[in-house]
Amino acid sequence: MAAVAIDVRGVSKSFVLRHNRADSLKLRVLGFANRRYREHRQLFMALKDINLRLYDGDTMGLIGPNGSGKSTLLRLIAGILFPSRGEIRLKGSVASLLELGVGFHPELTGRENVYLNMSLYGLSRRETDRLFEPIWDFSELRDFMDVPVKNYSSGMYFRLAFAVAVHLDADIILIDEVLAVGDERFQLKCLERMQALNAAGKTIIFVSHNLDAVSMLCNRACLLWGGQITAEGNPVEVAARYRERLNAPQELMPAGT
Amino acid sequence: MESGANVRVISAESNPLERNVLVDLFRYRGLIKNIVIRDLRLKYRDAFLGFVWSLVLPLFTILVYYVAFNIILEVGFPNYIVFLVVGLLTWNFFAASVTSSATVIVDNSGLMRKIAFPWQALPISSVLYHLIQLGIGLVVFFPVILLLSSIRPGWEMLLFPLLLGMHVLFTMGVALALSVAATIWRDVRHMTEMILPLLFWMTPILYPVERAPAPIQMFFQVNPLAAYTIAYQDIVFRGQIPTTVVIWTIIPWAVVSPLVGYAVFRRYYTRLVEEL
Repeated sequence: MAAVAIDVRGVSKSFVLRHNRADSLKLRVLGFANRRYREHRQLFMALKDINLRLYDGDTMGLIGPNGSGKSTLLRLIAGILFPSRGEIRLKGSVASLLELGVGFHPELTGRENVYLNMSLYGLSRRETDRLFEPIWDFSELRDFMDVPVKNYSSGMYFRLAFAVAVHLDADIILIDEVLAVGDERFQLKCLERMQALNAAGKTIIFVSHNLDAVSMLCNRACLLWGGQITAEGNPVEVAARYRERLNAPQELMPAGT
Repeated sequence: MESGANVRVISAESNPLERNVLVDLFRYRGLIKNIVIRDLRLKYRDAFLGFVWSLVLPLFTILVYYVAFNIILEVGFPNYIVFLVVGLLTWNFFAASVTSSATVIVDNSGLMRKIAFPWQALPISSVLYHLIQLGIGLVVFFPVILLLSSIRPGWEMLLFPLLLGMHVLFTMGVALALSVAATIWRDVRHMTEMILPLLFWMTPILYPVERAPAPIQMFFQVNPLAAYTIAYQDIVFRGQIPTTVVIWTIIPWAVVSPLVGYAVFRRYYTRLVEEL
C-alpha cells in the first residue's frame, strides 16, 4: 500500500463577502451615519467538510461546475489560503500551477524570468541551473532566451511558462486547467510530460473541465458540487455522474451564496 | 500517515511562518535576491542614463535645499552641504522603503493569489532595494563632498556600518508591519503619505537639533528617526561618538521594530490573500 501523500481531513472554508467593503475611513464614517453605506458581511461557505486522501503516485482529476470550490480546494492545498476548519497534511514539496506564467514580468528576458519564477516556487539557484537546459529544450524557444517576454507571442509565452511549470520537480503537483493552451502538438507533449511525472511517482491533482483528459490521465476523480464532494472514485464513472447532473435541468446550483 | 519530518500540516491554527525572522530570511535569501535584482533591472532597463538616475534625483533634492536654506534663507553654517547629504540620503532610504512597502503587497497581488511563496519577501526586498540606492548615493557623494568640505572624517566613521545596520533593521520592522496594515486598511497608505512629510520636518535633517524650539526638541527624544539622524550627523559631521541618550534610543528601536513588525506580519499572514 502506497503512503498517503495528501490527507484532507474535514476541511471547510468560508469567505466573508463584504458588500460595500468599509476598507476606507470615509466609508466607515458614512456607514456610521447612514445605513445605506454600512458594510454588511455575509458568510459564504466555499467548501464544506471535505475529506480526501491521495496516495503517492495518484493522479486525481477534480471536476465540477464553476464556483463549486475546485480552485479554493487547490489553493488550500497549495498553502495560499488557509482552512477555516479541519486540516490538510502534506508529505513532501508542493508546486501549484494555478496559472501559467504568473510570475513572469513582461520587461524581463526569458532567461531572467526563468530564474525569478523558479525562486518564487522555492527552487535554489543551483537547482535552477540544473534544470535550465531541459527547460529550454522542452519549450523549443532557445533562440528567444534573451528576448524580453513582452515580445513573445502568447503561444510562446505559455510554452515557456509550461516548460518552467513541469520542471519544478515537486512531490505534489497541483494543476489548474493549464493544458488548454498551445497548439495540438504542444498539448500532446504536455500530456506526455504529465504522464512521465506520474510514472516518476509524483502525486498530481488536476482541475479540468475536459472530462476526456481527466479520464485519460487520472486514476481517480472527484466531483465537487456546491462545495461538497458528491462523487469520488473511478474517473470514467465520476465523469459520467457529472454529465448526468449537468444534464438534469431542474437541479439548481446549491444556494451557497 | 506517518508523522515524518517532511509532513506539513495546514490548518486554521497553523502558521507557515517561522517564529524567528532570521530563519526565514536565510531560507529565502535566493528569492529575496532575485526580487531585488528584478526591481533593479526594471528600474534601469531602457533608461538611457541608467543608474545615473539614482544619483541625479537625490542630488537635485540636496541642491534645492542647499539653495533654499543656505543661499536664500541664509540659515546655513559651514559645511552645511555635508550635513544635508548625510541627513537627506538616510532619510530618503527610510521614506522610500516605507512608501513602497505600503503598496508592495497590493502591487503583487496577482502573484500572491497564485503562488505560495513567502510573502514577507516582498517588503523585505523593497527595503533592500532602497538600501542599494542609498549605497550608490553614499559611495558617490561621500568622497566628493568630504573632499570639497573642510571636514576630515575621524575614526568615528567606522561606526557607520553598525549604525546603518541598525537603521536597516528599524526600517524593516516598520516596512513589515506597514505592508500588512496598508493591505487590510487601505487608508494607511494615504496616512503614510501624509505623515512622512510631517515627520521629515520634525526630524533634524535640514537644521541642527539646537535650532529647534524646546517642545520640538522634546519630540526628538521619542522620534527614533531623529535619533538615527543625529547619530549619523555625529559620526560624519561633528566627528564625535553619539551621546548615551541617542545610543540608548537607537539600539532598542533596532531590536523592537523588526520583532514587532515580523510578529504583525506573521499574525495576519493567513488572512493576507483574502484581504487583497
